[in-house]
Amino acid sequence: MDEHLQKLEEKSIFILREAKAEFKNLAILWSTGKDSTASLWLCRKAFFGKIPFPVVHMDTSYKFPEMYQFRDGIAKKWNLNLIVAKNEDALKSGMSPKAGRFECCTQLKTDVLKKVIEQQKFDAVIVSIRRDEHGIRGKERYFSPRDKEFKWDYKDQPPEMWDLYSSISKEASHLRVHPILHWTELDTWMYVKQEGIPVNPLYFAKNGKRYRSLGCMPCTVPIKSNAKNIDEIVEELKTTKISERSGRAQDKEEAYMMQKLRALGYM
Amino acid sequence: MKIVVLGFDGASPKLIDKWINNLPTFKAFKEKGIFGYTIPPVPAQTPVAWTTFMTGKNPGNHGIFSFAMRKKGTYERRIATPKTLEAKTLFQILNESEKKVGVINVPMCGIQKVQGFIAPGFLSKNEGVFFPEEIREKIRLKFDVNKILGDLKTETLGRVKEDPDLFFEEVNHITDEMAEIALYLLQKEDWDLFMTVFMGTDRIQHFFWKYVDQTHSNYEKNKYSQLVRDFYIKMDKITESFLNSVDEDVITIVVSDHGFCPVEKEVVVNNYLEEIGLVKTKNGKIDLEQSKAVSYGYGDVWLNVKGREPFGLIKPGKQYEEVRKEIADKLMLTKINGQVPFKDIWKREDIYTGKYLSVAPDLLIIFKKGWQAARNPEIMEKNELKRYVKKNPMWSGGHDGTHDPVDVLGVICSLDLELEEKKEIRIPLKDLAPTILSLMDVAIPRDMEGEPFKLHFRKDRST
Repeated sequence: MDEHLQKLEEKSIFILREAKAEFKNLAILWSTGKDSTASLWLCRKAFFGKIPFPVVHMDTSYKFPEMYQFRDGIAKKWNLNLIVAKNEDALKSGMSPKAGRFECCTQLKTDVLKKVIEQQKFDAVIVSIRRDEHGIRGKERYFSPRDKEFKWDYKDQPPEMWDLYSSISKEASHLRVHPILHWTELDTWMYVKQEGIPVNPLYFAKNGKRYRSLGCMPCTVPIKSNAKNIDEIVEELKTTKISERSGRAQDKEEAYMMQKLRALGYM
Repeated sequence: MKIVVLGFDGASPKLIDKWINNLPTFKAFKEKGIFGYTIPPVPAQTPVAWTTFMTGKNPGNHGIFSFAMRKKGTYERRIATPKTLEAKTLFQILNESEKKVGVINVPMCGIQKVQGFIAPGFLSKNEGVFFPEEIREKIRLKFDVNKILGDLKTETLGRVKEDPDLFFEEVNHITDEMAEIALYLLQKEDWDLFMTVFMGTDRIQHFFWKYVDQTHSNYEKNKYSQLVRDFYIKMDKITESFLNSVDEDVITIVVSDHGFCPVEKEVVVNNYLEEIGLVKTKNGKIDLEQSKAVSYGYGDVWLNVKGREPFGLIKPGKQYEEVRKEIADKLMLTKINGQVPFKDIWKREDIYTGKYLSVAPDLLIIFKKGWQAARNPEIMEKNELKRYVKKNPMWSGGHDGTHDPVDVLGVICSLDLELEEKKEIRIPLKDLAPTILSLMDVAIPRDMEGEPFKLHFRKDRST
């Protein structure tokens, strides 16, 4: 095993086991993308083949058909305790990105997560974000408290020195656990290759295009690429300067600004 | 020489004239000092205009062409933020000459390393937060607030139609509070250039212009006409307090980045581009890859060029020119209820120069007064009779429709300056930074394009 990947894996497994020991009602979020699938793999390794907590998939109903296929296949194969969470009311009333992407994300993702956390009384959820994905994520911690409104005060976080993770917080309604925070996009792909983790075929190039990051169909565009397999993706990532999420419609930080500009009438 | 720049976003010289007898300070500018016009850049939009002011450059050299631009080499819409600004600001230049600045709520001004203090303005994610920490602490101790509210809350803006009174209550409140904090810092802190921008004038006018402009086709005089006038009276009083708070050897300049004109109808540019076969749709949405040209919701038109966009369709060179000409020719012949809504269509190189020209929209549509581009770029329902016009737009007043700068001139006034020769003052916004530097005896950087306007310090305000 590659030494670098082994270190990443050890740290991730340590975090997952700490989380399991610390929280009564733990769950993991699974988008079916490469990162959260790698996290599921790590969970299987950490807990000897069986993931001992629910796996939550937030279904906006706007995902790619390939994602649903992939999800159901893996859920069966890995015997997951899968919870599919959906905002049926919002979908019935026709919520779609046409109502504004920010509003759509809020109702079909954020609100759904709030509801499922409340209903299932989860005290911590495992989220597969990585520091290199996005500017603001650089400030994230492995154990990150959220209040009832999901607000994250990045200036008031427990210190994490020498890998000692504090999970105590008075105001927190639940904690986010980030086991692969220290990974990069390239690390994930190298790990996927080494371990033979299944990934969605949408990541591989077809007719000169591939998806680098998977989200909802209306808000995700493919990048120009000829990388048809993992080796070619690894090569491509070593040379690209374009951000991973560039194919995603918009970043959160920008979303707040968009919302304001819309209220002002500028958008 | 120390300078105070007092900015009122979108303050209209037309309205100042209209209410001049209620505005003693502005009356004094007219009678004793200078009172003239600023010429905004194209488009006359807040982020573009204040950036032009701050950098002394045209958008081709500062990189801000609109609220929403196309990210180079993609079809993505990118919002203008201080991070996307590509040129040095007046504040950074002054800092290099060991001058101290105090900057509050200037749009597009983010955190910058300067001597003095900055509270970033509109479009910065740090809007209203003072840097450095000591100033934040001072403000907290004195006023019990963590930051200034330089702008209305998104929720209040979103509910302006349902609850206009709340809107006025809030805009008056945040303006008073910001004025109080700014005046405190003006008096207590050490600075060579002090600048603050109030946003209220712009916000109010977008939504309430039809109650104050008699040339608007839906002009109506009611209590909101009064409330807008009251806000101008507030602006006059704030200006007076600033003038009274500084020593006699300080030059105070009042400036706005653009004015306003009526907005009555909106044109859905992409519907016209679809009509002439350039916009293609897929499942009712614009297919950016298959479209030869699209608008992102302003008077902008972006072509899909081979080698420049990921799925380019138009060959650079001859074909590019032909498509641009076709769009311009066809749009200029488009009549809506017998009227052509467009005043002019410009190629980007006709109005901009510089190293960022390649990220500017390929064409800019200039609308006649009363018209503007619909802000949602998606194709709206086809209605041949109405010819894709949206009536009752959200705004009744605007400035960046895109409008001709001469239709939306801003204002500049001072009691402490005089002109070399008697003539009407019309200053392009990009000339203000070099003018300020020259009044402060600071060397104007060679890459600054604007020219210093020939204004002199006038010792005695009272005459």
